[in-house]
Amino acid sequence: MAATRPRRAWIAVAVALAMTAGAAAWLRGAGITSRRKPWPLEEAAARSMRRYLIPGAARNAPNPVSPTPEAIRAGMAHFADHCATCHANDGSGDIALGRSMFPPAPDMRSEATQSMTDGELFYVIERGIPFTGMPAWGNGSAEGRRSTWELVRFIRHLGQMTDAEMREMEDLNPRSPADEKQAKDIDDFLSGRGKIIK
Amino acid sequence: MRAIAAVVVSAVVMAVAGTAVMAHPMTYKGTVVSVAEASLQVKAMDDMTKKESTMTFKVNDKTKIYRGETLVAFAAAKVQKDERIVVTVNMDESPDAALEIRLAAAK
Ligand code: HEC
Repeated sequence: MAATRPRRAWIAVAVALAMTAGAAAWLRGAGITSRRKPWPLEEAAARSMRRYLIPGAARNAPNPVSPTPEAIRAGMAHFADHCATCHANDGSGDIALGRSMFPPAPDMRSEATQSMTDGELFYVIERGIPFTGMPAWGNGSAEGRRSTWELVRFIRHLGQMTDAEMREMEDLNPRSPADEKQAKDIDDFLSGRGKIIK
Repeated sequence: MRAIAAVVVSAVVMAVAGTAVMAHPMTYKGTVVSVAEASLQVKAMDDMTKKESTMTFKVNDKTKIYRGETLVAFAAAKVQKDERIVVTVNMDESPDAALEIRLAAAK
């Protein structure tokens, strides 16, 4: 009997290798794209892996920044400047860049994001999410941590954005020199300085 | 460090976003020829061909209309014949639907 146990182990290894080879052969030539949505199982697996890896103390850390209008505004300005290019001003992710990467930027107004703890949101903003487009924004400074906690306050506010806030964010979104020039050309034209076509 | 990271990320993002997003919009600067309930005719120069022509743009509920800095409804904008206008469209999706209309501030 003693000889069968190692033999069984070898059979299990051989079967596992054969299945891996089979899967690889089946997937070969299947193509790649970043323009797709994760399958539900894929997303669930990624989320639970993330939850598993974030230390308990970090997950349970309370937000030291109170939800004052000032803190939310500070978070909003920061978000418009650094985050909206991928996440959109309203946090929906419905913007060219966020939609075209895999995994795509999630709709942060949804239950999936809102059910994360303040500590988890803080943790992923500070440290990023490996193998995704989400960069790490933390630098270890107290001031940096404070502004990340403000971002967390703003993410909680995403569901209640007003039109006025949306417009304010548009003014705060980064613009390239070409954008600036175009905006100036338009102002000049409308105020009567540009060439008129009649 | 945060500032450096932010600048690097912004630069990359803007370079990518620039090609992904900026290639699609087209902006026409011109004058209003006529105004209808849900469209307007504009005489403008085509940037590519450098020819003047009169074009009709549809205005729908997605069109953002600015009178000066103020976002207004199409009717409230009171667009006047012969006034200067700037119309932005998305060439890929619908080249004849106005995404954004800009008008000088009311006097
Ligand atoms: C270059 C694109 C990019 C930028 C810029 C960016 N993010 Fe993200 N972010 C992503 C992507 C992609 C994901 C999804 C990752 C995933 O599926 O695990 C993400 C995920 C997140 C999540 C987790 C949400 C969830 O439900 O899993 C939070 C919170 C977040 N980002 C906050 C921010 C904040 C705050 C900023 C600005 C300081 C920012 N992001 C800037 C691309 C970006």
